Amino acid sequence: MDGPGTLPLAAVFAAANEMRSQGIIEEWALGGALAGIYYVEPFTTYDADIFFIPADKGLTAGIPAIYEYLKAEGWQVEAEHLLLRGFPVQWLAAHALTEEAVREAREIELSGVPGRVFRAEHIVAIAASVGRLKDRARIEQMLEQSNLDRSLLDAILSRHHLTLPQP
Amino acid sequence: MTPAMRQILARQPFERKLEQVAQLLATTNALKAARSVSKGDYVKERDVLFAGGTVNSLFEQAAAYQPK
Repeated sequence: MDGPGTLPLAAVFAAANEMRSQGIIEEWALGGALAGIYYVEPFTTYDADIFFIPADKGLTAGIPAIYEYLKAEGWQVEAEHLLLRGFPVQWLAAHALTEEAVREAREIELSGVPGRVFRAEHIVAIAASVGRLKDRARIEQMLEQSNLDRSLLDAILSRHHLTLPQP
Repeated sequence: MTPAMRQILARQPFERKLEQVAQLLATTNALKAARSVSKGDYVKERDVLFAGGTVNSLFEQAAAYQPK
């Protein structure tokens, strides 16, 4: 699935697909820096962020069931991360803007494994909502390199009462 | 790097980008490991060797050094 010398992201996708099949999560998509890298030049990142829509709508958002499933599959737990072959993955419950990003994610295939990745427009909107220095840098990079749909981005920003930072 | 080169890198297949991220990560980890050595053992060793030395006295020591 994932060759040597690369990140085990296809295996992460496979695990997420399996959890969706088993009803542990409703839907999922890759977000964070690796989703950005799908659209722009590669840069260093230390983990993968998987956003999921919980099947369990209770307070825990089904996180105990996710941990239980992944630990049974051999994943290691380290602080807020679950590690697959030493590669940290954060499983984050989606809501509001990130839930919309999961529902409207782009379908992709990675090493033969189906996966889902946030649209470029949602990545920019989420970065605008967080607003750290690295998010501002990501917005600039995405606007320059990702060939995104500006009218779709404006609609998302407007729907969530967000604005892009001024250069 | 030029914007044109960045565009070329951005349009690579995702699999290739993931390989490059893994390489960047390996390099970063190697640099971190090297830095932690120089902050620890190596610096301690160097401090013992060079304690109290000035540039001139170290050159004098080097000139007078007799290999065993």
